[in-house]
Amino acid sequence: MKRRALQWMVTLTLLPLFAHALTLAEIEQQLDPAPVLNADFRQQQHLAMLSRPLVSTGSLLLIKGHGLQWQMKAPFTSDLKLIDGTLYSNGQADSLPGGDAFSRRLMMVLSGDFSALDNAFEIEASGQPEQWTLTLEPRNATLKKVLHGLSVSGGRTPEQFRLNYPNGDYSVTTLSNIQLTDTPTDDEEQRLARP
Amino acid sequence: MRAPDRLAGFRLNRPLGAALWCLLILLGITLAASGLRSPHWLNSNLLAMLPQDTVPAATRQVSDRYRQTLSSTTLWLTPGDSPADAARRTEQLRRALGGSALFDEIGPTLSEQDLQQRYRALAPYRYQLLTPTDRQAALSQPDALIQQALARLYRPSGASSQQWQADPLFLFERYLASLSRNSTALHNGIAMLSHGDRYWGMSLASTRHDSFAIDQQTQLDAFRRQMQQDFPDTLFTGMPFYAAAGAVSAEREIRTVGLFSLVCIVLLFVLVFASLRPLLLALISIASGVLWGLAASLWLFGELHLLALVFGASLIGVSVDYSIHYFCHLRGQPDAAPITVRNRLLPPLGLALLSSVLGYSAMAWAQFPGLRQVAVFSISGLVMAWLTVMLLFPALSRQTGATLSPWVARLHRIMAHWQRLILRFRWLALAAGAAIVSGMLWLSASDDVHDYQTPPAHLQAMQTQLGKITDNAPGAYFVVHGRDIQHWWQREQQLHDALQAAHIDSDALSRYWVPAQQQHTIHTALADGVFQHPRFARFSDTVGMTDAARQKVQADFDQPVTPLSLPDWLQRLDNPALSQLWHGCDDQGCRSLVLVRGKVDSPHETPLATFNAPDQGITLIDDASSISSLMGTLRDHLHLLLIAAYALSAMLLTLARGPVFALRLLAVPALASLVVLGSLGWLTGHYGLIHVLALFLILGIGIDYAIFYQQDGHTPTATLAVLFSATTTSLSFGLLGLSDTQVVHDFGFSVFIGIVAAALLAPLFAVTPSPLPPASENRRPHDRH
Repeated sequence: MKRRALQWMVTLTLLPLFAHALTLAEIEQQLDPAPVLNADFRQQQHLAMLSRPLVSTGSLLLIKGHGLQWQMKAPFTSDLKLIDGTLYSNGQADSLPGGDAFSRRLMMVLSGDFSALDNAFEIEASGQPEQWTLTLEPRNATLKKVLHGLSVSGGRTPEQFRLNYPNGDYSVTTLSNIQLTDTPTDDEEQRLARP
Repeated sequence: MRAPDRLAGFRLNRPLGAALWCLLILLGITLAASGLRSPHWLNSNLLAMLPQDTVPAATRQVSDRYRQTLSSTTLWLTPGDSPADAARRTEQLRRALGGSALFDEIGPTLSEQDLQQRYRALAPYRYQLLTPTDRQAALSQPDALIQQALARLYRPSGASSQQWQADPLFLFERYLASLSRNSTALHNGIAMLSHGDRYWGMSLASTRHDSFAIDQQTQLDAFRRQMQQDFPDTLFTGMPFYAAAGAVSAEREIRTVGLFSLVCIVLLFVLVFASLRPLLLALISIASGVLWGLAASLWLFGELHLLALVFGASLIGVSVDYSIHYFCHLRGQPDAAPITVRNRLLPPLGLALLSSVLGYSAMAWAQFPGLRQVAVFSISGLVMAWLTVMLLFPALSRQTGATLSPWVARLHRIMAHWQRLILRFRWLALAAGAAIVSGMLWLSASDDVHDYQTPPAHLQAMQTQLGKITDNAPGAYFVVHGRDIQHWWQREQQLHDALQAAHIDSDALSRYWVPAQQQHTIHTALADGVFQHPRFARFSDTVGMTDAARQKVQADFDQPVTPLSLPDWLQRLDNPALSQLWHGCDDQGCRSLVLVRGKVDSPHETPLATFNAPDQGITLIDDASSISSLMGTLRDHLHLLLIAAYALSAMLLTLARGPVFALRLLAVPALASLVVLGSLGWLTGHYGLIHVLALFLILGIGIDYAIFYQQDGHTPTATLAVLFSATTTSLSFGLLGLSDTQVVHDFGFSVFIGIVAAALLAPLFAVTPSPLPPASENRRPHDRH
């Protein structure tokens, strides 16, 4: 009897050692596959030369594989859309360099498309399948100069991500009110139609 | 014999004639040799042979320089499913280009260092040089700049504080972005274009050496085919490929036409004369003609255009006519010595030469460099072939007393039958003739410079596809001139604004750079409207700028303003696409190019000609349409010249022999020309400059047939001579009709029909029909058989 209890205690104490490192596949497995995501966001940008962070809030709409709309509502309104790989800001084709690369990556992050990000980033996972955190570091030296790294955390969908820039700049975005649906409504399709 | 005996006593005897001929040949060899010594004696540059529009010399200089750059530039687009894929395949392509040793300056590769270099080089001037929209905003709505800065700052991608400190309103960021066209994304330094769902990596390569030397052309054309195989979905274009394809096909045509003409001549000579000597002498005549054609052209022009040589290959069939006439008459008059034959032939052959030369000289008048070369080549070739017959043949040929073979008489009877047939059914013949000629009603005149070059279908297809993906300059551009930099800039600015108002996209330096005066204005406007205005304080409060940051920004802005000159700016920018637009300032003023951009499937609504204002320093250069319209004008002038030529010939012939004679002779080429025009109307409905030139040639050569029937009457000799020479001539021109190049084909085809028609019509008009020759006439009294 005593021996039995001892065995149990050893197994229980050693159990954590057998708990394997969380893999990307496991995380992806338990992500909600629903293609349409609606959420409110709150982004805080911390820049070294600012005495307080820039805070913006708004809502976003993601249709996986098709497009992303980042609609800022405060402190002023602005509408950024990435549709089929092209970036539009306030209805006009956007021409700033790097803008669409960033938006594409953002879309991948929000879609939970981590295997696509694996090409450009070294990804480390930690936590549990139900509450995970990913740390991504750019493989490309050129990219590393503009983006030191980013981290994403969430459960059934990404809920928060942080981007670290050189010079100590960073930004944190938190999603709330997340709604996942299977098919986009007409209004949602309209919003992400090519202008 | 009806040949006039005026010149029977012509004194030039055989040894003297032969000696003269040798001298001429030596002169020809010397001239040709010295001309051929230059490696660039054969030119395949299409633009060099076309007529040029008249523009001021300075403008011509600018456009020539630009054309030279274009003539060696090739553009390549490599597709991929992602930017990385496209970049990898582009690098593969560039390695292949480098390995071929045909290209220089394969690129462009804009590395991270290049971009940083550009940033550092232009940063000191960032408050002086702005995008046109920002310039406008700085002057009239500074609030808009603040709003834009806020919007940019709050973007999810954020901003690097280091960059933002230097550029708080993001003016410089926008300016740098505007400097790269289409804001093409870069991947591994390679410019990417996206079209549809594919990404295209762009490469530019310049061909090495002089791309118009003939051996380079062959290599380049072979390379093009290889590339089409190795990289099947890569698109490429560039003038070097068009020139190379044209050169290779022209070379092939010259060889074909030349070879076939010679082979047919050999066969016919052997068939008709059954002896080697006439053939050899005829070949000597042809060779001396070609020699002098080369010598005269190279001496007068220093070079020969490939297209001129293609036309010139037809000379072989025309120049042999004089030899044919000589030998036909030698055989036909078995009791006459060679010198007598020569003397008897001198008037008619002289007249024939004169008319042919006049026919070709219409081309020389046309102010069309390529056709001028054809004219000189042909005229000198014909004259030399004629001189060979006149000077050399009496010395080297012998009167063997051999006569024409019996089937010649049969041929002659066939022709006589033809005559009687036509006369018997004259109304039917007239109706048939009228039916053919009525085809003229369907003729419409037009000229297109693209007819002068027919590129391979694959090149054309790629060009169309490329036009949908990039917006290549569609061939037209403006040269802008001003007294000085300020003046020039204002004019270019006006042009650019006018084009923009008409939704025409253009590349102009004035969009990105402003003169010193304006740079000061911009800085002052920024100072008054933003940096020294409460606005900026409000902005920095809103975003929460630290005091240290604010002071740094202010200090940076307050740096003294040193204007950046245009050449300096171009050097710092290091962008060949923009540098090529600037053509410098001299004591006559400053000049630049403004390139017009546009996609192939959306042509401009407003014609570019509306912006042409040479008296205000803005000159439109649109080679394709200006040359085409120039050809139209030339065509109209040549119409008049053709009528004048007929009138002049009519006058001369009337003076010589009376009006009936003149009418009879001129009816032959006139009716033949109508047959040609009618056939063109029925077959193609299209008619241009080259067809009018063909009509000149038909006048010149067609009248010869009439002359010969006139001189000799209806003898077997005349029939043979005319039919034989008509066969060789129409054959040469008929071979030209097989050419890929539209104009060569049109010319050959028209002359072919004209010559055949003239040969058939000549016996009908020359004299009243002779009675059917009795069967005994084919046996001559001195027949040795």
